[in-house]
Amino acid sequence: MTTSLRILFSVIGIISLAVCVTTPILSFVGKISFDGYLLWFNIATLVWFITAPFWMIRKKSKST
Amino acid sequence: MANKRFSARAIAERFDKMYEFDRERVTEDKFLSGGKFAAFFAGEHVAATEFVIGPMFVLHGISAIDLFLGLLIGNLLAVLSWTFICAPIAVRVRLTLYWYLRKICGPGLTAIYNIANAFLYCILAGAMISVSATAIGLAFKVPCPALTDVLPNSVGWVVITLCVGAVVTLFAILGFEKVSQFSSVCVPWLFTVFIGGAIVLLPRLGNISRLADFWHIAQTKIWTGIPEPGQDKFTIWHIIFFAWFCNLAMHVDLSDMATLRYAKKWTYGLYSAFGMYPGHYLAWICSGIMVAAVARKMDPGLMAYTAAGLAGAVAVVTAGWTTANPTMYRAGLALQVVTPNWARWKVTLVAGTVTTILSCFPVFFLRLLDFVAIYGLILMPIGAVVLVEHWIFPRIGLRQYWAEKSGQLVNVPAAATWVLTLGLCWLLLRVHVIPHLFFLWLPGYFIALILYMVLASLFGARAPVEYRPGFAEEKA
Repeated sequence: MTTSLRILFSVIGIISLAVCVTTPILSFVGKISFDGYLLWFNIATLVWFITAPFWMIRKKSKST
Repeated sequence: MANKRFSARAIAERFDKMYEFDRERVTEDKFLSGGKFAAFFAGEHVAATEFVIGPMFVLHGISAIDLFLGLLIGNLLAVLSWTFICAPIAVRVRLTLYWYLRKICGPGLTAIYNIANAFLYCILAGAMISVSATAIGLAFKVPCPALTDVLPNSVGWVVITLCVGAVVTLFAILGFEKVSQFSSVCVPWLFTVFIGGAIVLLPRLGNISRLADFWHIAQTKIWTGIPEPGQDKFTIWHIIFFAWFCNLAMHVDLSDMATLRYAKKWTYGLYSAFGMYPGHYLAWICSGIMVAAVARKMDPGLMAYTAAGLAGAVAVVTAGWTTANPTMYRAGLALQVVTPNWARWKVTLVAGTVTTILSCFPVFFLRLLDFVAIYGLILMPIGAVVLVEHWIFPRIGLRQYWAEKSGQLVNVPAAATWVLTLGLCWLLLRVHVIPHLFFLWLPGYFIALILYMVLASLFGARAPVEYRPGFAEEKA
């Protein structure tokens, strides 16, 4: 995987994690409904699991 | 032939072979940065157990102030234990506990220690399978066992735990590297499930518009100070001691020497705070809030599903799975050495089968707090033996590593310390000198320290050792 793709996935992953953190707060303060929170939290979860392995799991470099 | 294969010496040799790859002292070029330690500790301490421990405190009737203060103090004591007990020894010897124990206790006793650890691992993995099963049970409308259940409550529960156990065993047979990588991906997200779940469920307990409202709800709806029927009443002392000893195997019992031997200096033990305070403070508080919001029903699956829908149920399943999997893999690996040359897959299959059967019995996850206490207690005397031999022996004129130097397979004073300490601990609890299992390890630790000093000085550590290169001697 190229470095730019890795950076892209990491940015998307971090945004999805940010959504997981902010949507409960928005639901708590009444800006979005509980169902809205559930929808966004679950979508963000899906995005996290699709993108995170590409940049969090690094292949072992060959030993010299 | 068979006797030779099963002799303590043969078993010890197989253990040596298994740990051969980390036999060498860590060299300076392999030291790791503080950030790596922060990440390691943060990743290790947000797991499936957090879905059980936080709610258990609620059900044991802890009050809000006792919980917040108790966790603050208990986790601080745990961090200090990593910093002042485990890390200083790790950076001085730069070996894993296995190899250091082998120098002190002899290869025979080290093998016994590893096997005991493997059995305890199996029970822990069984409890994690049960936690995962509570989430899968939701999909099939299988009720979670009641808080006081010991035996399975339905055929459905047995079927689900057997299925989850079979999957976990299968992945443990295939190896745990991939699962370990998957686990590292889960951790940051899992943390958001705890935090988010608690935040979003708080309004169900009452209207909160300022901090004082939260505190009022915490005192009256969550940590009310009233235990559920059949549960002991916990005080601040229970919380302090639990938070301190729940990772006893890692700090006081020195398992984390394996990691901290890569530290540049002993103060890196302080990085354990990155695991303790998010995992054993925030996550326990959050899961406590969640259980209060589901009418105090001890059902991790239901709790997480209510808080985060499908993602919550997935969180419980993956957290249980990723905790159980490496645990079972390690148990299989350790037990492999006592089999007649069985392949690792076969041993893991047997360990997995036993673990899966155990997981059908809800008592193991519903009494997780007691099991964690027993786990730490059983291994604690050996941690005390290492501490005495490392720090105290040179100061009181006793000979360090005398068992190794005299070629002993089993350091008998250490073995006697282990057995006698546990016997005395049992007696102290039985005659109610110590009022609760949670408080037992600390007096037990001091008993073990003194016992080993006395026994070792009487039976070999005082006399000048005649150099006898024996089995325990390290290969050049």
